[in-house]
Formats: sequence, structure tokens, C-alpha cells
Amino acid sequence: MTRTRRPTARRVLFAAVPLAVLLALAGASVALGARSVEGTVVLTALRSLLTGHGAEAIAASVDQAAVIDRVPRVLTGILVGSALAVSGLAMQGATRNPLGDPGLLGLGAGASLAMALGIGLGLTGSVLVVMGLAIAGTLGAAVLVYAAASAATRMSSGAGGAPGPLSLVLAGAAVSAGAGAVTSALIIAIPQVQDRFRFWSIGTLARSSMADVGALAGVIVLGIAAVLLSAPGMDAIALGDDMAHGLGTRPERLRAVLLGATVLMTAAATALAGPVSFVGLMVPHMLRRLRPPSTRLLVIATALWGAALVLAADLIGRLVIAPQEIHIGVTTILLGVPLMLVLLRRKSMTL
Amino acid sequence: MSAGECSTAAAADQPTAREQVAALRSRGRRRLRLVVAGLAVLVLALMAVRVLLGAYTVTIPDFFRILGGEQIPGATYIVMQSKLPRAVGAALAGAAFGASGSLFRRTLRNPLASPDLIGISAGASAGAVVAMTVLGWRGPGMAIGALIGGLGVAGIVLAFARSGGARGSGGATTAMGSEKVIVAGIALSSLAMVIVSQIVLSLEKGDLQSVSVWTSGSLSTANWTRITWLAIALVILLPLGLAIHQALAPADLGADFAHGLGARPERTGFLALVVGALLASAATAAFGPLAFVALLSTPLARGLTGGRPSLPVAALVGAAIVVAADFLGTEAIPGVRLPTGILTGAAGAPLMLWLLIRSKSKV
Repeated sequence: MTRTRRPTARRVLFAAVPLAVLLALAGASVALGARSVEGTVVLTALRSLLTGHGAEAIAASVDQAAVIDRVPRVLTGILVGSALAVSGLAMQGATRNPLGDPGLLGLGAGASLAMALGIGLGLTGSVLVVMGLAIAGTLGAAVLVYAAASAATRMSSGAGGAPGPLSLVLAGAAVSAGAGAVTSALIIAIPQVQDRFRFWSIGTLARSSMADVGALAGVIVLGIAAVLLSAPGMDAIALGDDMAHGLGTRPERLRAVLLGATVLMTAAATALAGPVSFVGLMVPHMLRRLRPPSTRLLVIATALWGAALVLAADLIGRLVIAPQEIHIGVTTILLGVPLMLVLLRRKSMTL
Repeated sequence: MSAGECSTAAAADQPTAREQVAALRSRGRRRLRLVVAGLAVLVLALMAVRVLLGAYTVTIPDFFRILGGEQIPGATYIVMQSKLPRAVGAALAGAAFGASGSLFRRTLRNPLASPDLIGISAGASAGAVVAMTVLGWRGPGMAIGALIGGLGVAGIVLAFARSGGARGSGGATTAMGSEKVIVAGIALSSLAMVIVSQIVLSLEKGDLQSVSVWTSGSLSTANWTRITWLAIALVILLPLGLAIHQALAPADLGADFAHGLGARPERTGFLALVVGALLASAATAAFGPLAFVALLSTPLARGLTGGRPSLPVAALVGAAIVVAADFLGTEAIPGVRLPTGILTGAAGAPLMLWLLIRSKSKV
């Protein structure tokens, strides 16, 4: 009896704890800030928002208006955090590279460049146009980084095969730097780009809007679902491609699904919040230390903890130096770089 | 196979072999002198283009009259307060980055181990911005902040290399050139840059303009005070760097050989990194982190000298790059002034990819 119950309890806890933390943080994020609000007011405001009386509530009191104003920000944080964390997990699984992170490998920078280019060329349409640009940029950066890193690994080891983790990060840094320089040039040269991109050197939730959330939530949910469905296959490719074939999975197709989901989620997250690094690196590595009961639960927990991490980063950033704020891009790098240094000291890190 | 055979053969060939070596050596030296002279002319020509041409042109006789102290309405101000300081500042900063890159390259034996990639420039700009905005230091105080920031990042990267981030390759300075340590430096660099962005975004409008131009690396802030400070730093650091660069020669043969020759490659390498970090930080303090100038100039310099490491050549190449980039940034698109660091950054990124791809095939 106890034998079977204990793993089940562990399974439940593995998902329930982050869910509880996330809900608590979401509540705190709506209530706290430059103008902190009591719990009862939060509840009335949210209830009126859900029943479609948001406008009346805003008119009713400043406190309720503050709460309603923070809702898109919290939703954006949840979407961005879960998208980036699951992207990191999918990249680490697909490339068997412990340093997989969409920011670190230059994908976010590619998305930003494509969006700046599109806006510079006058393509300021709906969110969907921006999203299309972001996907194109992410994909372009991914292909470039992967090709350069494979070439570097082939040169150093003489053999073909998957690119090593260090090559990927170095190629990602080069692509980030180049894309970043061209993006900066566009921001300076073209006023329309400047208007939209002024705050894009760091990832931030300060520009969140309900319209963007509505348009991009579907993309992110779809990406997470794709990774969730591929979870059993990720275990198989972790054992090597030959073993995966033997176990009846098709590693190439699985990789394509995982990387496709990564591109979608990274593009959406970058369109929502700008470049945010290290969330995808931190969350999966921390969770693996807790020995996840199954890969599917690892995906769920990664999404929840990723969302919680970004919300916590945003909340702390808003409270520490209020009324100014520390943007999430700063906090995540501050937390991520020490972890990165620890990971680099492992023996398995090769070019 | 016997030693006797070898030595007799060598003895018979000795005069000619010696002559051959002497001829090769003098050819190498002649090539080096030629390259240095050619680059010096190139840098001066680019500076002349920078000062005389562009949206506002100045004639050569007018230029010398202005230098002689004559007041020509409009022209004197533009030449003495904008064009000439920019050209001189660009040459000095470029030389500093080029020399710094050469010192790092020769010590760490990896073309990717450049001070602007592993976070020295980013650390220096974070130090300068913190000194400027948080502590309220201006002028020399900002330069001190930059030096502390640059040396600080260099220290962290060195400590990471020494603590076993890359074990098994003789000595910390050699380990520091490994890709592992470069990736650690890139992570630290992104950390420093994001601190800079955060501070810049929280600034008031007035400060924002000047600081944000400086943080992407620009010569628009060039004035004679900054140039004087940077020139003083270079007068001290460049000869020092040159001496250390030459003292690194035994280490080119490998640590064991160098020890056998009585050199202390570890200590010399450490000094080279300190002087290299100071050079990059001083240039950053003056005009911001001009991205990838060190990364760009070292391989170009080696190409020109035929693979021979030379600090003066690298410094001159760096100077040429920055003067040219400053001219292009201000004049290429009418009405748009791109900070110099953006141009060098855009040029450096493809080179970095290329260096990465062929890194292990030649190094």
C-alpha cells in the first residue's frame, strides 16, 4: 500500500507544488506594486473582470483599476515564462545539449531583428504579422547557429554528428551580437522602429497588452502541448539515436517536432516580452536535480516553474526600486549566469 | 638515424643553412617593416578622409590654416571640436583595442579569446556607467570605474579558468584560452551588458541620450580632454604592452620549452592579460565598448604579417578599423548617424562565426 502510494504522492506533489506557488505569485503580482491593494479589492476587481464588468470596476475605484491594469502583465509573465522554460527543455532534449536555451543560442535575437526589419519596411499590421516575422527570424537564427556549430564541431573532432554544446553557445553568441548590432542600427535609423523598440534591449513585461496576450496564448499553448506529447520520445532519444530507433521512436521526426515547437514558443515569447535569456537553462536543470517521476511531469513542472520564475522576477523587480523597475531580462541573467558557470565546469562540456 | 650522421650533414650544410635562416629572418623583418609603414600611411589617409571629406568638406589649405590657429567662421569650430577630435580619438581607441587583442591572442592562443568577447569591454562599460550614474563620478572617476570593471571581469574569468573550469591544460593562462572559459566570459559579458541596459533605461531623459550613445560605442563624445586622458594611458601602456608581447615569445614554444629557456610564461602571461585588460578598459572609458575591434584586428594583422604576431601591426589595424567605421557610420546614410560600435559589431559577428568554424583546424 505505502509502496504504491508514495510515488503517486510524489507525482502529485511534483506538479501541485509549482501550481500552488504560481497561483500565490499571480495573486501577489496583481495585488502588489507601486500601489498595493488589499485581497478583498483584488477579488472584487477580478470578479467584475470575469463577468465582463471591468470598465465599471475601473470607474468604481483607483485600487480596482490598478488590479485590472496588472492582469495582462501577469498573464504575459505566465505565458513567457512557461514558453521559454519548455523551449529550453525541448532544445536540451532534441540536441542532447545541456546548454540549450533560446536566448543563449541566439534565437531571441533573430526574432527581434526580423521584427525590427519588418516594422522598418512598413509591415506594421496585426499581431499576426509581427508573429510571422518573429517566427521567420527565430528559424533563420536557429538554422544559422546549427549549421555554424556543426561545422565547428566537425572541424574540431573530424567526425560528423550533432554539434557540441560549446560550439552552439559560441555560434549563438556570434549570431546574437550580429543581429543585435543590426537591430540597434535599425532602431537608430528608422523612427517607426524606435517607437516600438525603445525598450527592447532588455526583456520586460512593462509593455504587456491584453490584445497581444489573446493573440499569442494559443501559439504558446500549442507549443507546450507538442512538447508534452513528445515527452516519452524524449526519453528514448536521450539514450542515443540507435537505441531510440530500437525502441520504436523516430528520432528525426521527434527532433523536428521539438525544434518546431521551440521556434514557435520562442518567437511568441520574444514578440510579447523581448529578449529573455536563461529561463530555459535554469528551470529544467533545477528540476532534473529533483529526479522527476516522469518526463511528462517534468514538462508540466517546467512550464509551471518557468511561469513562477518570471512572475517572481517581475514582482521583485517592481518592488525593489519602486516606482522604477528592474526588468525581468536583468533578473533572469543575474540568476542564470552563476548556474551557467557551474554547468560549464562539467567534464562533458566539449566543442 | 645516428646522431653522428645528422651532425656531419648539418655541419656540411651549416653555412648555407645559416645564410638561409638569416635571409628568411631579414625577409620577415622587412615584410613587418613594410606592413607597419603601409598601415601607418593607411591610418593617416583614413584620418585625412575623416577630417576633410563627408557632409561638411574642408579644403587642405584651409585645414592647415585652421591648425595654424586661424579662425575661419564655422569651419574652425567643426574641424577643431568635431572632425579632428573624432579622427584622433578613433585612431587612439582603435590602437588600444588592437593592442589589447594582440596581447590576449598571444597569451591565450585562441583567436576567439578577445577582450571584447570575454567580457572585458562589457565589464569596463558597466563599471563606467555605475560610476557615472550610481556614484555620480564624472571625468576621471568614470575612467577609474571602467578600469575597475574591466579588471574585475578579467579577474573573474581568470579565477574561473584557474579553479578548474578547464582542467588538464598546463597553467591557468593557457586554460583561459579554452572554449569553455570563453563561453563563461560570454555569459559574464551578457550579465555586464544587461546591467548597463537596465541603468540606461532607468535614467532621466537628458542623461539617457548621452549615456545610451556612449554605451553602444561612439566617437560623437570625442573631445580634447578625453583624448588627452586616453593618450596618457596609451603612452604608459603601449610600450609596456610591447615589452611584454616580446617577452611572450618563449611561451610560443610551449610552457615546458619556455621554462627550459628560463622564462616564466605564467607570470608574463598574467602581466600581458592585465595590460591588455587595462588597454581595453581605457579605450572603453573614453568612447564606450567599440564592439569586436580587438576580435577583428588580430586575425587581420596576422594575415598581413604572414602569421607573425606583432603588437604594432594589430594596433594600427585596430586604428584603421575604427577611423573607417566612424566615417562610414556618420556619412554612409545621409541624415543617420550610426554609433561606431554598431558597425564594428555587425562586421565582427560573421568573422566570429568564421573563426569558430576553423578554430581547431589551425590553432
